[in-house]
Amino acid sequence: MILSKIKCIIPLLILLLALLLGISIGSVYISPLKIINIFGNRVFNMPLFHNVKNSDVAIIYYIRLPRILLALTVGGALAVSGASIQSLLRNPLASPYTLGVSSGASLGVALVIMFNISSGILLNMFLPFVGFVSSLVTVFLILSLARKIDKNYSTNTIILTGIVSSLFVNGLLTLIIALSGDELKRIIFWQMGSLSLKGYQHLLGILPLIIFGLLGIYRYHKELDALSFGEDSAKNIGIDTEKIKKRIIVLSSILTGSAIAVSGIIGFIGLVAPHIVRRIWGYKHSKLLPLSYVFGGVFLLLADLIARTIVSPSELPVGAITALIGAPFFAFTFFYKKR
Amino acid sequence: MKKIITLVAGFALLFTLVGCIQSKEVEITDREGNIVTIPTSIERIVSTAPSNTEILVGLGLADKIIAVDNYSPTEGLNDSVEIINFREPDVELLISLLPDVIIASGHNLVGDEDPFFQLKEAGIAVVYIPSAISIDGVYEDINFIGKTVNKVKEAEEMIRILRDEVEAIKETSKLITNRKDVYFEIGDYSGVLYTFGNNTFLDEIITLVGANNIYNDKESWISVSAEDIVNINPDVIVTNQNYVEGIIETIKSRIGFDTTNAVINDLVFVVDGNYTSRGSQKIIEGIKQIAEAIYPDVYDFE
Amino acid sequence: MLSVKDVSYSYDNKKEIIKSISFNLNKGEFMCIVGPNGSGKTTLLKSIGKILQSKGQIKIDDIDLKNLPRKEISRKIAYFSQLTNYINDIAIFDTVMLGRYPYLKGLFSQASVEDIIKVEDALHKTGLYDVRYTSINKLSGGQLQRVFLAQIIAQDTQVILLDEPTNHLDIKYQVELLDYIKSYMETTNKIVIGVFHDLNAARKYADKILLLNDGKIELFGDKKLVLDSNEINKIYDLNIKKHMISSLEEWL
Repeated sequence: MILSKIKCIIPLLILLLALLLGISIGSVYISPLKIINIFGNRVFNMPLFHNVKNSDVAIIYYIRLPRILLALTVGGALAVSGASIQSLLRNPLASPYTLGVSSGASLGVALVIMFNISSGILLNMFLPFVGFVSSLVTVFLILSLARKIDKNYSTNTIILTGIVSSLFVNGLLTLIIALSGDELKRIIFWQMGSLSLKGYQHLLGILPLIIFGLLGIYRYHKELDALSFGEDSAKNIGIDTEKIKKRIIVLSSILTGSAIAVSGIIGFIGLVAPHIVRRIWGYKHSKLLPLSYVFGGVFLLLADLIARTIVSPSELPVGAITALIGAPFFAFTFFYKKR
Repeated sequence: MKKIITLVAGFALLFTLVGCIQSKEVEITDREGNIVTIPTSIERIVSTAPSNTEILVGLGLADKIIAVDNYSPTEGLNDSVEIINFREPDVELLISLLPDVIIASGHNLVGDEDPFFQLKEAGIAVVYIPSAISIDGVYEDINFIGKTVNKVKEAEEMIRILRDEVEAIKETSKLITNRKDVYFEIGDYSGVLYTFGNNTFLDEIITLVGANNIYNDKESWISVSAEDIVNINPDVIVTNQNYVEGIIETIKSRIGFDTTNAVINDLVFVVDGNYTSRGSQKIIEGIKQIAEAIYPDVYDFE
Repeated sequence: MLSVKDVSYSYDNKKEIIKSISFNLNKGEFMCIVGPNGSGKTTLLKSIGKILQSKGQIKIDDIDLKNLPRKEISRKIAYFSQLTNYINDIAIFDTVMLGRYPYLKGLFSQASVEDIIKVEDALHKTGLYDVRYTSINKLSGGQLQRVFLAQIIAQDTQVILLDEPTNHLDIKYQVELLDYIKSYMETTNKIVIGVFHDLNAARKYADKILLLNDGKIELFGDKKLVLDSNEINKIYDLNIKKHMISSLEEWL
């Protein structure tokens, strides 16, 4: 009983620690006392110390804070959608990316950049919007294609149509990149994923969609429990499996689509975070989903911390960091179990 | 199959032509240090970079240019000029154009791969000019191109004019007492900001006009975090992303940038991207624009 | 009463796997579907349970299942599936609670007191109450089938469909499970339909037998009538009764 209580407190402690690290470490050093003072000033209108510069306030409150909050939101959303798609397809290696969400978003963004449809200030919010819409369009196309092949939406049909369609979309993307000139760099940078220069408006822009997606998926935690016993078994207890599957796919695509719309393609969080949670806290979705959110968020927050500090003042694309840490880690835990 | 046949036929034809026509040749050392044999009389030139095309046009050779890359300015060139994407050059087309010399740029190289090795094997002279990293380098590039295309005098004149203007600016800059801190942005790729440190001609230009590049202690082209820029607090922000609509507003509206002196005092400027990125005689236009942007009360070139 | 009328099923609207199946069963009756491999036994069972969307009419107590929502169907008919591969480690209690899913209400479907009582009752009946917080990945095949049986009991339906429930089980557990199901259905007056490979089990537990061949009913009726018939010998290409007796004599 004590053990299980510790198990519940650990994620909260990790979350708190990650938040503290994220806010206090950056390419510029600002002392913890100043940071507390800045928060006191912003939240309770306390006077600022005389040695706190305006730029310090901007860095802590308007650059770092929205960035770590965005990391938590994006990482959490990716992890939850990964967890639910894995349970749905009964495949620990699946994720919304398997269903073509990322390639769809990339294609949409590449088209916008290529044809210079919009630029300047508008681009800041327009690219995420396009990324989101095109990822959803891709998923709907894939679902309707899957339905043509097999009206029961069997797991294999979904995985296969997803993989085939994303390969096709990737082909189109390669074509666009080959035909592009200066735009090439911007498309590739978008694909690498980055959280830099994102402010509260990005966070607020995706938050309603993320909350909708998270609550929507959490609502189906029992259904996901049942689906992991197989479709017949789930249907037997009264689950309309086709409907639920479609809904969960759409909900996780909304989560992933809105997350990568602001961050670009960030890989491995959807695989690693749910995997760790399953290993330690088990498969029950009422726990798996919220804990995946916490660990996915913390993972991205820490990866971004590394991305923005390791070669400071330069930044690395956070997508590269999550892959570099995530891939070996995932391989290790995955094969460790098999032995 | 068809391609191979065309290629073989092309080579055969070429060798015949080379054997018959070409009689006089000289050896020169290109800007990369390669020894290249080129014909003494140059009538057909291929230029693979905008800077070199500008220099050639400036030397009065516009009518001898038969092919350029897709970034080069084409005004003043023959209507029949071929425009070639040198990221994946069409070797067959290039051979069929029978150029006397290909003036290639350092950025045509993809890693260690030489995209022109087939052309070299076909006996076409290829000289390399790596992208200049200093104003002196630009002088030397002009000098080299002048030698290659038999326009030595014209090149010397071009260098003299350029040098005079640069020296004049250097003199004026001695009057400046407040060295302004400048952040010069050359790219914003989805939030990844690019600027430069020393060993770049842009860094040299900022120093030349009397200001200080805030990343002067870094080397070459670098990406930087917004947090770091805000903390350093530049007095002036200059960017050459003039191809991005509303770039000044974008920069001003970035989170945290509103605390920098540059944004507070409304000192964010955009300069021409071509003049400030190509190592040709036109770099002087870029230098002037940068000088006027940073010290409008010191410089006036109108 | 369960009434199955003119039920057919095809995967791709071409070849019908089962063709125009009709029969009636009364409360308290135990029917076995037997037949050679590929005769459509599991397809028929899934069609009756509406796991597959079949043509035809299925009525329980004169209510047509056709236009009922999935949850309501699951309050009337339960399908005990073959043991499949899965990865899960939720507790026995939670697994059995899934049987109450068709009765849950509200946006986040919370369990009511009645749900908990039914689950605890099912756990007691199957002897799992004391280990109810054990994770199911620690269980053997036989124990696992008992958990799913408890789930079916908690589901509390008029009709129970068993798809080779004793597959992969040791003989001890086979007997235990089937004895229990038989006594449970007799005391609660349920209708049970099972698919069995083992004709001995069919003879022992069933009241009625449906002999399926190539998707069609070859014979349906009292178990003795079917198992002793010429039709079954023809379909299996073996004199069933003679074979069973002679193999039992080996034990003497």
